[in-house]
Amino acid sequence: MQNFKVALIGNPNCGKSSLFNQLTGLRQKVGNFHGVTVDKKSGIVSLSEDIKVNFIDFPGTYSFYPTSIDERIVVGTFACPQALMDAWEEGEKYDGILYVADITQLEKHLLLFSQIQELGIPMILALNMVDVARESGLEVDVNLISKELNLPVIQVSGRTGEGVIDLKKELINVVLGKSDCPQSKLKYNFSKEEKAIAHELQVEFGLGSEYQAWLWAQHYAWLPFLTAAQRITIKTIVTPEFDGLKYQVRETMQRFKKFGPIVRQTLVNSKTGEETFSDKVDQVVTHKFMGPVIFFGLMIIIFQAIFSWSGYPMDLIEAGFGELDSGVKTLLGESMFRDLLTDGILAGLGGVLIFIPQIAILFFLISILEESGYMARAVYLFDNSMRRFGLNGRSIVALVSGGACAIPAIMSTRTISNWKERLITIMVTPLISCSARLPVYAVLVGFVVAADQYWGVFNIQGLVFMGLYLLGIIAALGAGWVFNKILKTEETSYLMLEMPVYRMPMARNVLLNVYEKTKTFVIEAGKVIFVISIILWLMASFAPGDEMRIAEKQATSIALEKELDEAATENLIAAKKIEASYAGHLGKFIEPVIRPLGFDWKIGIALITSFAAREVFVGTMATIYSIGSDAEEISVIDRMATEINPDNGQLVYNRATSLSLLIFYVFAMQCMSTLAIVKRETKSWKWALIQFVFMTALAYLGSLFTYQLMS
Amino acid sequence: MKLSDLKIGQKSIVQNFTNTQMGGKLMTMGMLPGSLVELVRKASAGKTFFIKVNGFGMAVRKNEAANILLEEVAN
Repeated sequence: MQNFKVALIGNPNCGKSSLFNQLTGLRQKVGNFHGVTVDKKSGIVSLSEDIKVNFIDFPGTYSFYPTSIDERIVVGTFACPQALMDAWEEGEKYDGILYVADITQLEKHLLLFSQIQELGIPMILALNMVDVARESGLEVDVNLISKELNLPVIQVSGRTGEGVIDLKKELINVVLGKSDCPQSKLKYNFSKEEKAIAHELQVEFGLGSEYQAWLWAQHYAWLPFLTAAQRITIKTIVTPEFDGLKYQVRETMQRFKKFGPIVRQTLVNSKTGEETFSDKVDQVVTHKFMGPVIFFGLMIIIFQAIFSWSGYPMDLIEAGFGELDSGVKTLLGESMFRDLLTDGILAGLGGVLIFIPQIAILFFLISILEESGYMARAVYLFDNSMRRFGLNGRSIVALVSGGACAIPAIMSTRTISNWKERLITIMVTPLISCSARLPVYAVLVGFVVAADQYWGVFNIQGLVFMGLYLLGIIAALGAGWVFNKILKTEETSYLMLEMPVYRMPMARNVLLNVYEKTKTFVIEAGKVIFVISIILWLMASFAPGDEMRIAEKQATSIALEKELDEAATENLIAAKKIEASYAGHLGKFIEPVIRPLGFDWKIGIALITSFAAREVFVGTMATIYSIGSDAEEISVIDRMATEINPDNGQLVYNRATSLSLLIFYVFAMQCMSTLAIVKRETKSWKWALIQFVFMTALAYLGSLFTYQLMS
Repeated sequence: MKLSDLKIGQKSIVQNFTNTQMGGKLMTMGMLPGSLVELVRKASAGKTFFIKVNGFGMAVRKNEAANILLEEVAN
């Protein structure tokens, strides 16, 4: 068995991900590129009985002159000599490159191609979207282009799978070194001054080609594999007059002049000048008035869909956990371990897993928007408005995906090249209500308004939900406005964004995306909840000294005095016990701080555990209340709805407290994972800390205001 | 004339860029001297342009468009 490594490279919007999904299917893994948090998707596929290839999907890149962190990966990897790669990053040597170009935009997609081809790594060119090209009347002379570019060329479609078998066959030849891989015909002709620098560097470091040396000269300031000593040497060779930008323009112009004629020679277009489907759609979708209306309409549809589609699967999951719970209870005899399992772990997990349907639907709809090409239109429509709040048009992608999860949203900001705009986007994105807030909203909204109330055709609960989301958006924009006033920058900000042709989203791509994201949510949230449930259960089941016994005694005597029936006695004992426990002590300790917000010590416990992750709130409630009561069949929501404040005999979750708690969850930074990502993306704890402080302050003040106003 | 002077529906040929850094980025995206550009529509009170470069859609800001020099178009 031989193992090989192949890099998938291409421009943004070349359909590379579809092809990657075609090749690897469910055998995908997501990791990180060395030293950065850019997603690195890879998948191992058997091409024949004894050949396995690990495909690595690189971020979409326009050229070897990157303008964003994502784009740096390609040149940062391949400017490194293959011999050095092993030392720099274990096993990162590539046996071949699968370069993907969209036939319908072949000319511009050949720029990066011609640059990579100079590095002498075995390569194959996949001309993607052959189905779309054929429909629009584009024909390619594959033999001619293969001859002109000096490498194997295969026409494929990542959408239909056409040509993928041929591609795999040819890939075997490429990785085994059997396919002809003579020198590139599109080599860059250096000017005299450029050649002098490139040549000196090539000799100094013993590099494979002058062009590789040239990349060092252009990018030595940040190339990740260079040592400090190497940088100093390069700096002495590269003269101070070195005008990288001027040389870049010269190279780009020359390259287009070289492959332009080849493209025109090999591509035949029988239908030209027709108004395309995309043009017609854009007339409406990017219209200056209709465009924003459609955008907000889509957002409303998404949120309606989340609630109307998720009811049935959620009921199923709830019923499933109920069965499991009573099953475990009958199977195992009464014991400490059984209680830990059912009241701690199962209650905590069930409280969160029930929200899988809503989260999956949200990810499903957002990835449809991304796949179809719509997101780029939203960027175009809102760029100018976003800038007023210190953001970039591209921030809309982060803000919309922030509705699913702040973590991928913050990672998507890497396409924003201006540091200040990117930082502000990172700072405000967690204010957009993410899917982890959904469980909390879903539980609490019922205490604010009843489920079956309508206002015209609108369900009032739905409206409250939308109000919460709107509040998050307003807070995000407001915070952006403030940050924009405080932060200063000299850097220029760019829009310059490609508007890809609309495409029908592919079920395979969308579903893989949903599967992957949901899986991550379940595993990541599951881990945190598992641990916290156990800690909580321990804290709620034990008390300092013999307080637990005293509490039980007290409760029993009160019950006798008041002549309570059996069930009421049980409840009273349970309530007194949890109050006496460690968890109760912790809750009581912070109660004075949260009392003005309308929260009691039980909510206090949930707030503390929620700082790990918001969705833990529901799990915590489930744990606290299932310990508090023996009536297993009652759900958390029903239990909370009947919770009485022992001081005044009123419901704990009245309208004021519930709304105040909702407001708290809208604003508060309660997600360790997000803080960790912010730290990684901004390279310092400073911004993560600032974010934590300002969001928590906003939450506290917002809640305080709400409760004082309502009660 | 500049791309920002173009009227909706007008087409012209790119001659040069007055900002090299922006020019470099535009060139990697396929807009070069000699490319055919068309102003398709505007958004945000004329601050954002939807253009077509050799038939492919692209969004640029008005101030970015002001750095793109075009061949004169007869009105």
